[in-house]
Amino acid sequence: MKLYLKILFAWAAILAGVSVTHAQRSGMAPLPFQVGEPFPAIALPALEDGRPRSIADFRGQKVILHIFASW
Amino acid sequence: MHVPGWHEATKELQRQGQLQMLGIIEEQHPDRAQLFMQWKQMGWPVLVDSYNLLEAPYVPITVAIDEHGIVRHIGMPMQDARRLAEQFLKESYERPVGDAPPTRLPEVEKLKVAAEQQKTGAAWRAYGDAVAVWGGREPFANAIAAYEQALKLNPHDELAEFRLGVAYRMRYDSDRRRAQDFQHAVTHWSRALEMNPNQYIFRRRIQQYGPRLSKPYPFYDWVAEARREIRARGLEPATVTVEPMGAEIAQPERSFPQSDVVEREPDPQEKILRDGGQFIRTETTVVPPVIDPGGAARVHIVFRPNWETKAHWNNEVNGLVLWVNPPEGWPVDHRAQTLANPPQSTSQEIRRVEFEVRAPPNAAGRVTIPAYALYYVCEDVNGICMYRRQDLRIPLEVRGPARNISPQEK
Repeated sequence: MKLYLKILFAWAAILAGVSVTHAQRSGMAPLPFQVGEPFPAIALPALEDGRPRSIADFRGQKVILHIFASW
Repeated sequence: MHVPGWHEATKELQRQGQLQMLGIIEEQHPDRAQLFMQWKQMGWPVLVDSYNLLEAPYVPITVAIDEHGIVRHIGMPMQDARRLAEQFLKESYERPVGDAPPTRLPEVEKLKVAAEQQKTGAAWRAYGDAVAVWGGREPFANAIAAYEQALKLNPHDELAEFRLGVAYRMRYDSDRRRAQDFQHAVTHWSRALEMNPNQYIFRRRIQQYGPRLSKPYPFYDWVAEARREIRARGLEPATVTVEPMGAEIAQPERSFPQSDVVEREPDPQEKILRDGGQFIRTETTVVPPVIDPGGAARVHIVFRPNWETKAHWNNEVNGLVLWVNPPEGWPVDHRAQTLANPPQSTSQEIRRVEFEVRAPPNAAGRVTIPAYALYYVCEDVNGICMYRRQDLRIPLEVRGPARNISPQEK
């Protein structure tokens, strides 16, 4: 194999080894969604009235979603 | 705080219609989040995920989702909220191929049939999830049965264990409550956490009701301040169905909060006549039910007047007294507690007392903590008022050398 190809494959191997998800980088448990993937469109009851809603109801808008608790 | 900080930083962008804020709450009692939203004047939509169907491993998580429903950023710090939001708004993304599916409710009956046919833990859990959240007339009983079936087929399903605990606690807080529902909830949450100790939603659900030594923060101590500020704005605070009290508002401690007051046992010679539940029924819950040597547990005791004998509290004399007689070497935070009576001369409310106990470093195995309550009670069948004692035997387990607690142990 030509030398430059060996070097290229070696760098690819190194980069694959250090490639980490956001969760791993932050030392936290892995998340059930990833950048570049659809956010899960699970139907959940709205706090206001109990009607089923999901992220699908907000298509067409840019959304900042907070998964949180009041404590 | 993270979420109110994000709200304040992006209020203008929200008002202009450029940015939509959305919340998903991971709480056992979601109406408390309604009070929180009212307090912080955040009017955007929030969805309820008490069962953690999303499988979030911790909170808070802030996610930027584009107009096609695709995740673009995760974990956006509040300190940089305005800049991150403006940057996100400037980003443009290609529409993915194909139409995004609309919100779809799970088909509860179809999932039940599928579970009965497939006979797998995952299928029963899926049915349990659907009936727990959307299940109609008897959601808790049906969800509990479904999750228990899921665990019979797969005893290592941490999600089914956690959600079974949620369903038990939901039933405990409803008018369908059955004896030991709260203890079952804590037992199942504890098993879920043993299976996955990195799951902070599981961990917080136990800590919420647990001892001060294990608390990262006081969970609901903000409620009183929230109500004051909302009333100061001339509004009525949103109601909560389960009032946070005791463990849920207690401050964390870094050393065991043992009282150094010398307390006098009220009935050392056991002279007071016993009430075996004829007038007041008691229920104890230990959180967590299994502790490490040297670890602490919080004991919750509930006293309910017996409707069958039309029992009611007599408030014209001293209030209910709880006395704890722990084994030698087992400190408790309070050996004696006296509850204040309400102002009316008689009442029928449920009364609650909590205390904490710590295991000595060399403890192991099952232990019983004896205690008793003294109270004045009347009943309307014969029109008698009396002073009674009810003995309590509170079970606790100290973890010995590593062993598995089988699912049948309750």
